[in-house]
Amino acid sequence: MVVQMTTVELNGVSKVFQKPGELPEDLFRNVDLSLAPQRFAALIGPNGSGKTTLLNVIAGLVEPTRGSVEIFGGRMPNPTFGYVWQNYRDALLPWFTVEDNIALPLRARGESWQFGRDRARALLQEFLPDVAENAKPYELSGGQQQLVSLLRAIVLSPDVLLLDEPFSSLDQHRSWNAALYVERIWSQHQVPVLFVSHDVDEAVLLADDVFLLSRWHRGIVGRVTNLLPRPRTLDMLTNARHVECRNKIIDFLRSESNDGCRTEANWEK
Amino acid sequence: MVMAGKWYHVWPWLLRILGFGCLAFAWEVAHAFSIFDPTLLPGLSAVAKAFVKLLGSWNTVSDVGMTVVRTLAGFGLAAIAGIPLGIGMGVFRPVYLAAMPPVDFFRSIPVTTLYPVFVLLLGVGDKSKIGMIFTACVFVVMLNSAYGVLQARPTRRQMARLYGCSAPNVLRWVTFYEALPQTLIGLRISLSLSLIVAVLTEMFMGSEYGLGQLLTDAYTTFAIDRLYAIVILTGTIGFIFNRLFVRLETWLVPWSSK
Repeated sequence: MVVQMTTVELNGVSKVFQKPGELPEDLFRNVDLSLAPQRFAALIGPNGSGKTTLLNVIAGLVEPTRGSVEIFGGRMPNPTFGYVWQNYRDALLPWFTVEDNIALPLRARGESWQFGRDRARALLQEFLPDVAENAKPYELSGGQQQLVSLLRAIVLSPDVLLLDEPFSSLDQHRSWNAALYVERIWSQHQVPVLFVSHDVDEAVLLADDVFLLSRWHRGIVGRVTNLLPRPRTLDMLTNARHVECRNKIIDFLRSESNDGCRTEANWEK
Repeated sequence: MVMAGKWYHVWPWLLRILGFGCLAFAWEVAHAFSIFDPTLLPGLSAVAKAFVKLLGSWNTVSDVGMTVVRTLAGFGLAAIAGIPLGIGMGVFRPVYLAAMPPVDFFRSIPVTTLYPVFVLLLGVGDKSKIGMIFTACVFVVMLNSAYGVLQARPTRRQMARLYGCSAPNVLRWVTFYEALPQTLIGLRISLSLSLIVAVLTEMFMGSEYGLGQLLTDAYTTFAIDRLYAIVILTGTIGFIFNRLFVRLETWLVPWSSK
């Protein structure tokens, strides 16, 4: 089997926002980023650094001001995306049942509801056996809703999986457990993934590569690589290598809150 | 819950009855002390007797029936026309910009001032009555549906587009439901409005059957007890309409409070 190394490639991507009557402001500039299916990538950075916008640029929901996004080297005409939004209340459809929510991407692409529901039920049985397929989203807990959102994201077997702080509204231990769910689902589908987070432990727990997006430098300033084996477990949170990665990221985030006092630091190792 | 122990949480109906009780007491006091002419404001017992007599008459069934039919006909037509137009206004910006000034103008005209116009164009029959009810309601329905679409949070439409939904599918899987709670608010306001206009047109234009006609008859023949009984009956119908509609709302949009 030929191993495809890079499937998502961002080259010199910049996003400039201009409000009327104000000077244009770079949100980020010259971002180069590669995602490979066998490496779980996380993105971490302070609020306002443009994490969500970067995801939306990859998904094609936001047009970059400069630069290009290539998916499979531009050889795939209509790549499909799986996306999990930060706010589950807004992203699921409360008038549809859980299985119809999961089936929606299939139905939108011309499959029958029945086919979509069968796939949805199979996914639910495998990953969320506690959730009744005809429950309404608002009857579930926040974490379950986000996992339903995640199943909807993978029902199409998408080419790229994008997750925008999916568990930021959960309790700490719930969000870690949900993160391990993500790992389980991802390891079965092996798609390139970008997981936006603001929780350092969650990012390190999940990721092979944690990219650091700086608000001060308007771009990606480094990458922290976690080499711990998979599947990851919660015991690893106190592992020395985990803590080492974590400390590097915390240093980065502290320097960001100092508004770039330590500009000479090099985060790449 | 801490509050569950309070007596007014244990017996909420007690306070609900108390409100009516105060009102009845005030009425009886006004009657007993002749604050108004006692023949013009009769005692509650006399009104109650007239009410029972009103309910016992077969003709009342026809009167209530005709008023309800007119109300629902005008209301239904306003809903059928107003909901798609309102959603169209909300979805297509140019339609909104073009439709808003005339809609804003026409909904500012009290429908009663259009009474002569309706009589001239449609006569004094049911067409005219239902037409006035329709006119009173349709703009309210339209505006609320349009607001429902416009107030929708963008994430769901973004989601639908990302997963490849076509424009018609976004409309029927996302936008329609998104606008539904606000649409139902518009419909509930319209339902009250349509009963008001139905009774009013029956009073002004006259009709064989109808609560408005019944009121005019009682008024012109000086059947004062009966007059109050009809007012109470009409109020009861409006109250039932409203209650049923609230039921319908919680059944149709169980998510809107969550």
